[in-house]
Amino acid sequence: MVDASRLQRSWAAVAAYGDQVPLRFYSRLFAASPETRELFPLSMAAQRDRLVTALGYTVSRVDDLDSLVPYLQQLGRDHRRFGALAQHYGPVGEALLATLADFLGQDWTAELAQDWTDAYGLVAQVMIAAADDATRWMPAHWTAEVVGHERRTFDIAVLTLQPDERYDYVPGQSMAVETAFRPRLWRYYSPANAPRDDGSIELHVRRVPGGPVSSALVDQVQKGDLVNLGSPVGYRLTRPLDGELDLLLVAGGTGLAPLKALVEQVVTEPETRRVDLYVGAGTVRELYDLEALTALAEEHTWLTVTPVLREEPAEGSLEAEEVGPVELGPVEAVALANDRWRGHDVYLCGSDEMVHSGLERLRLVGCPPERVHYEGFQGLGGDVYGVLELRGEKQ
Amino acid sequence: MSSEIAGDTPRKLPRHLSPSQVRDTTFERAPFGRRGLDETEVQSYMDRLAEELALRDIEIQRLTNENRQLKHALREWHRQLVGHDAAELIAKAQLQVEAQIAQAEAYAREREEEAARRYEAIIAEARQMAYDQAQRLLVDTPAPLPAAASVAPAADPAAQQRQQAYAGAILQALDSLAAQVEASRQALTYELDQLPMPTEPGPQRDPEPPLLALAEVRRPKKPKKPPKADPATDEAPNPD
Repeated sequence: MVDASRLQRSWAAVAAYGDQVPLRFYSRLFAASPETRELFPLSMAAQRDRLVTALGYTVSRVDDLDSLVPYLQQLGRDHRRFGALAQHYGPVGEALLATLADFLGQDWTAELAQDWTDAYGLVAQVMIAAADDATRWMPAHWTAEVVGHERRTFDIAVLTLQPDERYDYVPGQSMAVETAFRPRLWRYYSPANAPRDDGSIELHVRRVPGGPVSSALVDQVQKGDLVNLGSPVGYRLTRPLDGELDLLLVAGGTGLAPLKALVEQVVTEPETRRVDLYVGAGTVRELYDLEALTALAEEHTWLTVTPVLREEPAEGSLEAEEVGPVELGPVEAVALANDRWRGHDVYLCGSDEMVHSGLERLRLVGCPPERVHYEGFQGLGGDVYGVLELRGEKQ
Repeated sequence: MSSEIAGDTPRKLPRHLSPSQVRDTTFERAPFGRRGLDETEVQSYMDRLAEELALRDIEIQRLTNENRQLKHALREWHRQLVGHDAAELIAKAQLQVEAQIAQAEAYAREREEEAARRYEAIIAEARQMAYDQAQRLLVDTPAPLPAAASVAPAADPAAQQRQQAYAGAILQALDSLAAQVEASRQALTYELDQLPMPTEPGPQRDPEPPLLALAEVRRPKKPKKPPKADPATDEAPNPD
């Protein structure tokens, strides 16, 4: 029925117009159905990128339903937290077709229109069905009360959240977070703990200068406020089911959060294994969670925690006094030196720069890629589904 | 009718009799001695029927195509007539809003970076000052230097006193500076809230305590510079 290659050719022709395409699409959507504007944030710049990526992904796999359908199902489920309803899919389809027609001009034939109508119909059908199905087993989003808000440094805060309903996740996953101070802006953060009996979740948030959500979470949100949580996503940093190796965890800054959750996961396991955690920071004070980590290491002999500072504190300074046993240098360089990765599953989380440098080192020494698990703040290694938001906030 | 037709696999759509099915249909001969129809006459009628069906199928196809073209033309007409201008306007407005947001965010970013630098400098200075003073204090008394602020069990009361003095010096300096830093942080938060960031209905915070500190920081005539250290901390803390 749908001529896949004709569809793909037409998309390639339209996509060449760049940001104009999503801009026209959303404008047409809002012109025709003003009520849909409410579903989006004021600034649509990031949204436009996402739309184009999602469309491109879908079109490129329109003849490969085995990989397309699960992707669309996840997309449909995920759209529930934005308030997308079945009745929105019609206007969206109209706006999409009109946009394609705008850009294709004479090449927008009745046959091509039929292809797109059929393809979009399929996409909408799968997304709606998945969203509808999900209503039976999970809420559109969770609401959580901020029960703890502790500033550890000028720009890092540790938040404790208490979700209103049971929130099941696997250590290493992340979840989209929205605060009422910045409506409709969702950013991904990782729980820094393994699931607890009382259901509370610890978040590590670093304020990114100019980042609307992170600054609200660090500066404005207080105890007693509510935040919204999306469903847990991502398997880049979760442990393989059959993982039997010791763990080498390499954290830069608040990249510590998902890795600390992995440490806590090992605590709950019957079989212990060695865990070596390297925590990187610029200054002593930026080792914002060292106290808790040290306590964990004192309690569990299988865990070693090594703080790593980028630069040596000046001699005679207070910091030089305070620093206990600490290593110096880029955290990934220290952690991966001396073949420490051998016999380990390696986990890297931090800035893209740090993660990239770590991956390069591991590649050069021949560490098998399947032993390496990583996620960069700015999306290194691909996004959760290839299209949605990034962890934390863009620098 | 023969079993040839009945044996067709059922389709989802209502089954249509195709011209070839009509043409190829055969009938059992009437048993000998029974009356029957003229075979040739039946066959020629079936052929005619098949032809009619074929023509009708072609016509349906033609009408379907035409319908699709008409719908397409109608949608095109509608698209060009109504959607386009409104969409252009909305797009323009959207880009303007985004330019303003980007400007506000850039401004916020600069202020936040500046505040972070100032904060780090104040803290580092305060810590170092407290440390130096405590060191001086300890050097004056001929006792071994205790390592950092660790509370090691002290053997004699004099050593214990020295350690307390050391810790006290640091705490005192830090406390007074922490107050300043907090004031400057609140001022910054307030300033950021004043940015022309298009806000949407969200929880409102009473801007109470920050306003006081802000009055100092925001007064336009006052030169903007890092808040001075509290005079109290400029003096050596009294060990007693």
